[in-house]
Amino acid sequence: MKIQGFVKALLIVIVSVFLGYFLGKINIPFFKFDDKIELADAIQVVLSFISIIVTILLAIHISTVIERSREVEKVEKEFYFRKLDYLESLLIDLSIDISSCTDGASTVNYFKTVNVCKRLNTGIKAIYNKLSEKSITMDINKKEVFIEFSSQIRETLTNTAPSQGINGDYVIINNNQITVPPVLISQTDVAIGKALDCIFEIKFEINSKKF
Amino acid sequence: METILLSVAKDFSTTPGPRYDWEGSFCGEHFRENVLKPKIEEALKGNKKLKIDLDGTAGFGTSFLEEAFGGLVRNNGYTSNQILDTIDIKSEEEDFWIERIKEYIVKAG
Repeated sequence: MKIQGFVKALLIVIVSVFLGYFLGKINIPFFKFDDKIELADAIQVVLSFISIIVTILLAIHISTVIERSREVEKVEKEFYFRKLDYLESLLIDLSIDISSCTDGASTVNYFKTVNVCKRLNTGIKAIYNKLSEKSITMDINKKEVFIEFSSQIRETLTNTAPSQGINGDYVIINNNQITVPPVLISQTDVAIGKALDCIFEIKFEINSKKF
Repeated sequence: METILLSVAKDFSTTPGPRYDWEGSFCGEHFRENVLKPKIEEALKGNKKLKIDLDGTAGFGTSFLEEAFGGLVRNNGYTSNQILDTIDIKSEEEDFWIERIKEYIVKAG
C-alpha cells in the first residue's frame, strides 16, 4: 500500500513537472511567458511547491502528535490525582469520625478503621507500582513516610492492651466499636494531618513529571 | 520440607476483628486458639513448614496480629524460635506485616 502511494506521488510529480513545462510553452493571449522556459525551471518550481506542502503537512502531523501525547499525559495524571483524592477523602472522613467526640472521647467502628488503613496502604502502593511500570522515577521516601503515618494511625486506633488491667494510652474496643481517649484523638489527628501533607507533596511530584 | 497452607481470609474470616472476644467478632484470640494453634501443632509434629497467607482480608488491626502470633509464645508456651522456624508469612498487599509479626513473636518471648 505504501509503495503504491509512493508510485502515485511520483507520477503526480512527473505529470506536474511536464504540465508546468508545457503550460509555460503555450501562448495565452494577454499573458506573456518567457520563451526560454526550461524543464529544469519547471522542476524547481514544482519541487518548491511540493516542499512547501510537505512542510505544512509535517507541521500539522507533528503538532497533532504532540497534542495527542499531551492529552494522554493529562488523562494519565488525572487517574493518579483521582486515586490520591480518594486516599485524601478516606483520611478526612476518618478525621471527622475521630473528631466527633462525646464526653471527650470519640467512637469509631473497628472494621471501618482497619479497612481505611489497609486501603491507604494498598492505594499508595498501587500508585507507585503503576508509576514504576511507566518508568517514572519517584522519591520513594514520600511513599515510605505516608505508610509510616498510616501505620501510626492504625497502631493508635487498633492496639488494645495485651492484658486486662494494663493502664496506659490504649483505645478501648467493645462490640467492634473503638473508644478513643482525648490524648489519642490529638495523636491520631496529627498523623492524619501529616499523611495529608504527604499526599499533597506526592501530587506536586507527579505533576512535575513528564509522562 | 512439606508445607501446610493457612489463609486467614479463607480459613478464618475476611474481616479479622480485635484482640479479645469481648472486644468484637473474629478476634485474634479466637483465631489463635481455633485456627493457628492446631496448624502450628500439625506443622511441629510433622516437621513441616506453615505458610500463612494474610492477603485477601479487609485489613488487620495491630492487636489482632499481636494476640494471634505474640500470644502463641505468651499464652501457649511455644518459644519464639520454634514459631519463627515453623512459620512463613505471605503478605503481598501489606508486606510490612511480615517483619512486624516477627517482632511481636520475639517481644512476647
